[in-house]
Amino acid sequence: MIALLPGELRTHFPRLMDDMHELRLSAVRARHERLSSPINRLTVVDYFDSLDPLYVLALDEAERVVGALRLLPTTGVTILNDALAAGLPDGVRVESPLIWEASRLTLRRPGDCPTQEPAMDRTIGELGVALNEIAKAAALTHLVAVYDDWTRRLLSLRGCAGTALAPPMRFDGVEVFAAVYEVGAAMDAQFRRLAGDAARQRINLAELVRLRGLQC
Amino acid sequence: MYREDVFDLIDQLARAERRPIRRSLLSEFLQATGVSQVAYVAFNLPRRRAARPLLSLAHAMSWRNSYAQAGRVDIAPVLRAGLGGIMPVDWRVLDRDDPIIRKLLGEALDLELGGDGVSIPLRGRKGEYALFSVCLHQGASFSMSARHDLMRRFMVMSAIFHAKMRDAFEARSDGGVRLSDRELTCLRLKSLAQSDEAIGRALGAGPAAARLWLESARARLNADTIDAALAQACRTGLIRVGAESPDAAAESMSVAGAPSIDRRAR
Repeated sequence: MIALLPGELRTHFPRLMDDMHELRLSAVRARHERLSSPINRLTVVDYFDSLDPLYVLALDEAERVVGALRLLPTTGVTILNDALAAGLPDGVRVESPLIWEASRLTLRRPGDCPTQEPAMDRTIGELGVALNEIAKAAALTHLVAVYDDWTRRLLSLRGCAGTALAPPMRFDGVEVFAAVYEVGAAMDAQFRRLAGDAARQRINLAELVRLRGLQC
Repeated sequence: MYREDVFDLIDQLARAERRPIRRSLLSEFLQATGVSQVAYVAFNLPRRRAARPLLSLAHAMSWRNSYAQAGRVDIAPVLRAGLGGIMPVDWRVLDRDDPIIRKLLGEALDLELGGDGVSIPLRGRKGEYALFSVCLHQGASFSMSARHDLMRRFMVMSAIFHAKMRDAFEARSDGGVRLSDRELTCLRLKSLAQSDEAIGRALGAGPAAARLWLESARARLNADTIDAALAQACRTGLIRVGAESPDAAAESMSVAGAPSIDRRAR
């Protein structure tokens, strides 16, 4: 199941936000397991979270967050343009109202999941289908995804790592990759295949508007 | 946003010295899109003098007065849902059973504003944010794909409008547009009638990447279509059509080292 969470409403959904931060924390721990530096929640909340992104969360049957990412328009401040610009071709920003950035893609590691690989497939599939639906609703042409090497390998194995946009870059001591997804039927099919039955449930944009109406 | 802020804002704008550039921009937009009602509100616009929000409306004075007097700004679903978020709000998904929404849209219809439209939140790299709302003509009906095309057009036009507004406030001109080698190569090859597949191959990537760089070039040039971007690039001398063969244009990209980028990811 997919939940859309507007960043500006994070305080209304403390449990989901906590779950997402826990997920990020476990990913950071797994990446830095040999490092001695302390890792706490501040490590997993960055400046880009303060820009009120749209969070896309994949939930399991128990409504635990098993996958998460955030979306920001490239016309504003993004990881790719503002933290990794030096690694972009010619150092020029990728900036268009029709291109959004998906970042902090985090997935529950197989060891934490009882059903392991099928659950991972489903989570990736659900997130991808939801991304395509959101992008279509916003009339976007492309999504630019920024992810780490572990995620890249996971996506590559499943044939859905997108098209590489730039050579590998380093961010916060980690090798990161930027890839392009073109919004449309091909992207949908790619992820729907992985999501299986879970893709039947459509994202609820009306609910998103209703939620955003809460903010004043 | 508080009602008092908006009252102050409207009052300030009413008394403010008129800036022809603002009016012409809005007029240009209305003319280009064929819509009659547009509202644009922006905060944190970068400017040399003290920052102030900007509100620009094409709505009739009767609606403005009615809206302000009834304190609608506190409850307007579009404002509440649009400011702060990033998803465009298609007014069709507003809950029309909600009495507040029904009343507001009813009033809008009475004043011939139309009860259908889209609101597009805008984010800028300098921390500015804005909301651009367009009312669609009453009685206009669109197929799903036409609606999607219209939404894309509004996304593009609202960004161009916002960019021009920001540049006007910053007293900047469009003179210094810089495109990346990839964007220039894509434009060059496109102008030579190459397919997206061929352009993608020249980049060492695929057609999706070619279309991404074309879209990126379009946005950077503030053109409303790829064709308009091509025309502008030719006109301003960014690319020279006929000065080189497709092979030469593709070769220039290879020299820049693009093909090596994708090898690793594959």
